[in-house]
Amino acid sequence: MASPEDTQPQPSGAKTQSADQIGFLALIHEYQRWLLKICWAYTRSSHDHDDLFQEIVGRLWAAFGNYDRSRRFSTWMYRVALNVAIDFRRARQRRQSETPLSENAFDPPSPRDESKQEQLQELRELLEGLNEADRAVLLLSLEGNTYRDIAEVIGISESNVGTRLNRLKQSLRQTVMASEK
Amino acid sequence: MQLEELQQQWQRLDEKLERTLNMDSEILRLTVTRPARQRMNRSAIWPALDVAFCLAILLVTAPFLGRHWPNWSLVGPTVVVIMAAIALMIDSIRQLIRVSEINWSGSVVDIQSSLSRLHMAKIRQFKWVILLSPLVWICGLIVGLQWLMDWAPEPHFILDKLSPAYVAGNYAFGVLFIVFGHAIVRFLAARFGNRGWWQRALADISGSSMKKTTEELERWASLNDKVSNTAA
Repeated sequence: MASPEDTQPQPSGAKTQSADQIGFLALIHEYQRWLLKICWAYTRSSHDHDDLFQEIVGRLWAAFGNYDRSRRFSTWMYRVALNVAIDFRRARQRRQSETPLSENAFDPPSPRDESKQEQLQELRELLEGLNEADRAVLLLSLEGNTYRDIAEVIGISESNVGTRLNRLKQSLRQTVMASEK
Repeated sequence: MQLEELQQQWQRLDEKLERTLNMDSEILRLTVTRPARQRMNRSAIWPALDVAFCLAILLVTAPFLGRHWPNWSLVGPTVVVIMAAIALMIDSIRQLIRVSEINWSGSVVDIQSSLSRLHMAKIRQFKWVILLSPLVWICGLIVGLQWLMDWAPEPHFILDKLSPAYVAGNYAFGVLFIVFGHAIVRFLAARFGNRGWWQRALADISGSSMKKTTEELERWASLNDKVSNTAA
């Protein structure tokens, strides 16, 4: 499978865009789902979700000129996106004016979606209970990144990532056991 | 629940995202077609405005000080205003440097530590701006009114026009506010209930925001140590 970096960009209105813009758009399109999931994980209202998405994309685009092409785009993007998301969440917590995110923040619910909604709600509650570092480690792990990749993005050692994930697994088991009782 | 189950739930989010993808593609296109330089860093807006404001104050007060030297009833308040403007300007410039040094593509630990330090600097600045504001206000009022008087066809000495009790009372309040400002802000915050600004002001002046941010900074800075210790 071709890596996102190898993908040929095909945005509309390409004639009016520079090569940088075209390349950036193509890369972001490849990772757009991940960016949206990060926004979902770090916000609690649909309005904040949209704001954070724009903030991340704006920050990525502003920094794109300094992106070292010899390094992996995903690592660079994960770093910028997580840094912006953590900062955004902290600023929102200071304001304490969040409105609860409804379950249909991304899509209207249908009866057959109910179990999925519940599962996503569980996932959200779990993420809400984590500190910023563990949340970032977990999100990168859920996306299938290796310990090495996660360590590079967060700026901690690989063994640290392993320890944190093991601790999260233990904590998950304890949560499940407690809820079953 | 296992990590693998969570991973499946995480992947299921993809299905829910389909609808927003088209809308966000438009946001993407608009974002990149806007020149990047136009997006000023929000963290830099207030310090930049503070620097501009302080520069304007200094440009006005420096010649004023020269004109009224050595009339100590005017030189005193002018020196207070100048010192406050210089202190605010230096602190704001330091904040601007900190903002410019933040490289968002740095590791999460590095950037979040830098952001916590920047936040601490902002809290410290806000606290002192509030505590010093009554004293600087009365000094600024005297300087400002005298500056206006100087332009009048028949200049007057402003302190002859203001009641000595009013001036002395304001000076005393300004000095006492530095000492008892915390208690006054706490009283006002209680009186105005749950208004966000008061709560934040109280937290910043009382030091609880600073304590929280310091803990946050320590948490990021010692991330590796803590887990190593736990693992050991």
